[in-house]
Amino acid sequence: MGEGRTIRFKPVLAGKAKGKALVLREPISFQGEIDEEGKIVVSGNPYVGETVAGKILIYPEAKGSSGGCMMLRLLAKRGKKPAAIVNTRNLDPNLVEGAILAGIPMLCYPQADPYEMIATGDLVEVDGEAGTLTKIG
Amino acid sequence: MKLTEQESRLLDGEEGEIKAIAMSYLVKLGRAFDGQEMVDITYAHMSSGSALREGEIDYLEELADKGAKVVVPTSSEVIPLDLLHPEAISAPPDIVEEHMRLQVVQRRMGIISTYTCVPFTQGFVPPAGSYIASMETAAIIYFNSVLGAKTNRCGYFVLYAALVGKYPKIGYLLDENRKGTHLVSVEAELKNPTDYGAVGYYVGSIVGSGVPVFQGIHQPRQEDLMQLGAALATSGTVAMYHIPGITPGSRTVEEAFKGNRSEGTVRVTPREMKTALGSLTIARSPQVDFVFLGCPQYTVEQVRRVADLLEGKKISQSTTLWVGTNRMAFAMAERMGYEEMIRKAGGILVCDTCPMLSFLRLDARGKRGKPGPAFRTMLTDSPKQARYAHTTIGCDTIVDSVEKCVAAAVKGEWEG
Repeated sequence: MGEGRTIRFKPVLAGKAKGKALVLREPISFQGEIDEEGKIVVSGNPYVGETVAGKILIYPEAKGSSGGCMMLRLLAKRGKKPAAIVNTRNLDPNLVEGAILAGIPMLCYPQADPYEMIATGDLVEVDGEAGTLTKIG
Repeated sequence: MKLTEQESRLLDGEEGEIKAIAMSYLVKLGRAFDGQEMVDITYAHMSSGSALREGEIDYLEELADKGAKVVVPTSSEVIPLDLLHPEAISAPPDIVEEHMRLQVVQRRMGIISTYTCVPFTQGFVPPAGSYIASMETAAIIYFNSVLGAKTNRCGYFVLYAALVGKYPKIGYLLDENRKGTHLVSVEAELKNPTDYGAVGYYVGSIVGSGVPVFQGIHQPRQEDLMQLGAALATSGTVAMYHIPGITPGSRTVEEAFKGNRSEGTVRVTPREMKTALGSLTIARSPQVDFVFLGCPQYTVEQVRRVADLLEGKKISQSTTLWVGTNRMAFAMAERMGYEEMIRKAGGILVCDTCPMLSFLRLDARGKRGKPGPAFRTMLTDSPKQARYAHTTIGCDTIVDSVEKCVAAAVKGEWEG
């Protein structure tokens, strides 16, 4: 773990996860913008057609309808949940509820800009207890 | 987090397994947000559980079998069909059956089967200042802003909150998060709820999760504010706003900000409103085969207005018209003759449901061997419905006022 490859966050939900990063620069909703298979379906999103399943999902904050909580629960049941959720701007209670039910580690409020260090496809690791996001490859 | 003796007892399972699980989830949530304590809630508005989402109704039955019962007044959210009149909208029989089960389990748990996104139009009017737990972003923003009750943007956890009558004191339950963040200057005449929706859709996209403070809104009606809030919570995550002098959180702009500095003034002129609605008008042709009114669910007054507009007219053969409302307004509309007027004109008064959450969804159709959208173009008076229907139902969308929507339903074509 080299210097500058780890960013500290506020720990939100405990748990460890490793996976490929999916970095979105805009808020996204788990209801209507991501389908029941975990695929991004909102038109205009640069990652439309990509899946969130198994990814370390990094984006500013949740938005939209509160049904998103139940969508996370369903994605977990189907094995299509993101491996971890990292919000950079704001923490939405509805999303946290979904992550508790789905057992997804979560981080928020970074101490450095993750968008400068991490790009979609990078291999990263999240520790929800320690509050760290680490780039491994 | 500091727990009272009673809360610790609940958490330790002294009042049963169900309450212990409910408390443990709520405590986890509270800790994630640095909550210091729990509060007693006086009311809950919860997700109904949908047959379109695997296992939700089964889960409620499991809980009910273990004796789960809500301990505060609890209303419930929209479901994927009109359970009272499923044949009127050709709802698939398997979904009807599953939701008959839902109705039974809700009754067993003490939950009222309102199937609504606007419970405050049906007698659930928590007092200003009281703590509640609500899901449904269109309801949350109305409770917080117009009624002055305090709820977070809750989701599924309303169920657990209702089972123990508690919620962590976090987010919008804390007064410091209810202060204004952005001053909004409305420099346009708002003539109908859709105009309010246009303002909300534009402002939500700018302020994100902020608390807008509106200037220039005069004598809004209940229906106007239902539309304003629904739109603010669609393009943004807005859960609270102020209209000083109108909403109970503030008498003046200064009071709304309570020492916060405005993060900038947002100006809304007819141009921004037109752009907002224009961004939701994604249609290849002016022919409309589906007109949907009633997002959020129409009040009985709005149903009356549609019946009035339809008097002596017939809906085009090529167009389906749904007017969405709730069970109480439906019953009233039947008594007043509005339901018959709409039916005779060829429209359908629908309760319990809403297209974007219904069996019209692409995923629900796909599972039933009917892939592809049920309708090509939806015309609606609601920015929220248009925004979500575009992706969930897979149809083109157009947003316009109720008058224009009804005229288009009659002609089969939107006049623009």
